[in-house]
Amino acid sequence: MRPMKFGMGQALTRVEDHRFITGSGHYATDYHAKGELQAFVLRSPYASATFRMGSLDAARAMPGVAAVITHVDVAHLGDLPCQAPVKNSDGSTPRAPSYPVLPKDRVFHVGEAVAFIVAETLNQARDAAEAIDIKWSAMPVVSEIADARKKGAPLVHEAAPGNVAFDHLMGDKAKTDAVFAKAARVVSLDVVNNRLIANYMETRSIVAEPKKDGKFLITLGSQGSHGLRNTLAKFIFKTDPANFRVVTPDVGGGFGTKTFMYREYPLAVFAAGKLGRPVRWASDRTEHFFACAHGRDNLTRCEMALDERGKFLALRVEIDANMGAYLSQYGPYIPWLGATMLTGVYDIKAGYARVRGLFTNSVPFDAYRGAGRPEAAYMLERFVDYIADEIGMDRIKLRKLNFIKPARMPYKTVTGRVYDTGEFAGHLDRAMEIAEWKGFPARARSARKVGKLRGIGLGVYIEACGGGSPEPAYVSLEKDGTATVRIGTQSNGQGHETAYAQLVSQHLDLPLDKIRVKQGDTNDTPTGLGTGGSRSIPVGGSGVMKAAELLATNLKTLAAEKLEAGIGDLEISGGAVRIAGTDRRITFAEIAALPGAKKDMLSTTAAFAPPEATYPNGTHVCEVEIDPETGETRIVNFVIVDDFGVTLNPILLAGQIHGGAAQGIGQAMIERYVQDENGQILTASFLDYAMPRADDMPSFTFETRNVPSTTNAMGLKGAGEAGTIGAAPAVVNAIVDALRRAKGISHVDMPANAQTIWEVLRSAT
Amino acid sequence: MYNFDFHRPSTLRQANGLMGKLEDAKLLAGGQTLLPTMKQRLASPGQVVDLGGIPELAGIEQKGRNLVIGAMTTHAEVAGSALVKAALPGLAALAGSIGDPHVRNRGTIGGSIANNDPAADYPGGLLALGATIVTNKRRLAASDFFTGLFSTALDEGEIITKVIVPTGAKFAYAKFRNPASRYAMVGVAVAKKGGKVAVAVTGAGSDGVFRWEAAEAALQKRFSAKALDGVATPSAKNLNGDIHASADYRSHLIGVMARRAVTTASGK
Repeated sequence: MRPMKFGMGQALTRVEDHRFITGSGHYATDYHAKGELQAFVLRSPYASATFRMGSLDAARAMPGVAAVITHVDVAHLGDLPCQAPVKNSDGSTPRAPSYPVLPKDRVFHVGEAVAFIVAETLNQARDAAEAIDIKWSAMPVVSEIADARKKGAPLVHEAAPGNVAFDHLMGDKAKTDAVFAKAARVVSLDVVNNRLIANYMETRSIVAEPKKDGKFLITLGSQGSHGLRNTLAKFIFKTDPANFRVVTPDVGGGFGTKTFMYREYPLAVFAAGKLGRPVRWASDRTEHFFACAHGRDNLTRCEMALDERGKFLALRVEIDANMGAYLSQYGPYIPWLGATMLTGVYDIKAGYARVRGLFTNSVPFDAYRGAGRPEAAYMLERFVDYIADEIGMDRIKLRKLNFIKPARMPYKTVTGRVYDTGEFAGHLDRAMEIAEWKGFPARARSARKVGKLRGIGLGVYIEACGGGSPEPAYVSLEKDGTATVRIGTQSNGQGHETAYAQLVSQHLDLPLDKIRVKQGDTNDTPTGLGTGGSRSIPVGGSGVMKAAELLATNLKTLAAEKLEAGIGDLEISGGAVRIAGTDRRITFAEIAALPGAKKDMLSTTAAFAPPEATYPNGTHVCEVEIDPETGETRIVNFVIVDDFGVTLNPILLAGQIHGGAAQGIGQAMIERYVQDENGQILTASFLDYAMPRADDMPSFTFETRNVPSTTNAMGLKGAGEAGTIGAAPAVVNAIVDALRRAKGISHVDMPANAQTIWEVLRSAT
Repeated sequence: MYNFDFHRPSTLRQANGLMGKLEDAKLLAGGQTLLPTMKQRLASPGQVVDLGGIPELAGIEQKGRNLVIGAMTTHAEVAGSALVKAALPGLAALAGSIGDPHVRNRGTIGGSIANNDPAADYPGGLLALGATIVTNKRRLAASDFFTGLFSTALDEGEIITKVIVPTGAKFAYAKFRNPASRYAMVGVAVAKKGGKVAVAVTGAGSDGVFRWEAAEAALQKRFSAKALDGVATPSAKNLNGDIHASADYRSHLIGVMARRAVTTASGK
């Protein structure tokens, strides 16, 4: 691809940043409709209870109150749908429990919505909520995975025996078990993947406005307005999606969980329709902890069969994944997706994963940055270090012995994934070189002299992303010679306005400020699948690139007639078409004014249907220093070498990797959500939920070692989630390395926080 | 937040008058605890009396051998004060370690000690330094002032006016922060003046700030971190345990933080 000033590969700063860093971004909560009412959600204080709603007369009579909405008002609406069920191993599809817009007489988690109060002011709505008398009757609680799978455990849902939401088998169990039976050696490990909250900065909110024609304008933060419109219309209100115009303005983070339908959305729309006035609801931070989908939370048993030399022969894994109290939109799909990446970067010829989803009395789970692949990568890379320790083999040698070699590409895994490319030893060697792996023993000795424990660790990951259905992109030339992109993906802060503009500039050679990117309005763009699974650039971007190329051809066709030249003699340069090597040119604005410049010539559309996911892969190396007196860990070096196929913009890419790695480090070291045995949340605010902060972060050294993907025209591999996927195993492996050197400790679970490390050091003494 | 009446007196006398007259009144200093609590509807005073408009409660002075710190002096002012930095650099450092810049620019010394949050930093520092808390009614030694978790010797409506801190001590404060809130999970303040050593522990005690006498005795013999080797740390029985730190871990950290404070205080 020829280099263009503002095109592919250029390190351009983000066009949206001026707006964001000067406080002029416009988010859903900045939007106010004239005459809007304010809504407050009354929530369950119990994790499991039956309830009887008392009289609502007192609440309804309170000052400013417009409506008190309970189950009876919304019983005619459809349930919140689980759109990605996972089959049982016997082929049956389990029935998801009903997930109504408001429950009738039974709640299943703390914070579950039971009434929606609408008033002139938020304080009036809250006052009215306090005047509602509910008779609660507590029921037995299943708080965590360990409780759910206990023999004789209470049932979260009567219809789900053993609290099992689904029980799926992936891979060839008989073949795998046969390999295990004959293997020279078997190593096993239990790993915990801790439960996380997706703490994006902008909490969820909605303003629903009824229009005179009976339609609704809905403004909310999302990862794609079309998806929420369709779910609202098709599943819940059972109406034509055209009745809802959904608009998403700027978004302050989503990390997956802003993709999904939540109860407050149909409630606000219903209330607005009933009252004939706009209704607004905005989550506060504490509400966010029990009103937004949670992430991760797996307990996994893994076993590896090896030969005498350390070659991996077979892998079997049993994943128990928390689903929470209901099946969220894609909830079951997450551990299933992770399991498809079971064997990672290793050539393992037999394997299976048993994936069980379990109900607990807790907030439902769904996709959180990485969605299953961080769990898979952490499990495998922690396990490989553990195996190396168990069999007394160098962890690098063990990895290299078992890597899938580049010559084997394309490589089909036991779960049916087809990797197109990947040079795992290449980035491993490079990352170790940058991290000065060889010099580590000397650094460890120096640290020891001042009483500190040093460790170095790494994780080599591969993940699957940037696949799925095509994302149509629309590119058009405006009368003033500028270009507009319309697309149904949704930037949550990643920088899509810059990225898509660069792809257009690759063909139209316009500066980025002459290219507008419009996203988030269902009236502007006919369809959209939204942003998720690192798909916006590999899938959406491929469409944008193709549409821009088609537009460039159209512009040349129009110019050829005017300039009386052959198309082959024309080139696009600086917002004009010219005859190559001459000064005879016609500007885009002049082309747009030509009589032949009909709309279909100036507007193009293209969509790319990926034949397979992309498989970004890479190595994270982490070096830590532990203070054994307190258990505190400091990351002293962090090196990332990734293969993203092709780099669209190194600045945007580094931003994605730094942010993603920060989330991985947070999970590895401090973040965790905790419930007590009654299902009460012990970490419902930043007082107790440990969010990583800037001073917890190392300075990252990041570079790419790209091997172009063969499954899309640009050669790109998705990069939105990779940082999160690679970081956690590298951090924990580094911590365990330090503890192993000091005290022979071979495993710690996440989060490996100061208290945990102090405890394991103390019990090893 | 529920509705309330707001009062902003400009003299201590007026404030005192209001507190005597009003029903259900709360004093507002920096508001770093009261306002969030009110926003969450966990506190609902009908009347709020803001002390922010009273000049006589502000400012830092050196009077003889004492620092006199007005109750409404913010943490940022104490941290940045040339007087405090010269006379008691460890106290300036303590104030500079509270919360974040937002908190330090709003939160006050009077508000902090009146609330006596077990995870607050000032109580340990003032107890070790032998400070005197002056109110509109009386003077109280720090050891008499702090009476337990979130409780003090203050009477209803009594207003702290200033804190008198003796200078001339070698003083340092070391804390281990809660990984989530960054409050002190364990904070140890050490002060040595003449032959007397005081060691006060915040963040850990199940009954709030307390003196660690065994450490004091050892440090009086020899003011060095090594003097604490072999001194049993306070029993876990009397310490808090939660998801962030077990009582055992807190007990251990008291020893570690005490050693660090001693090392800093002795200028090593």
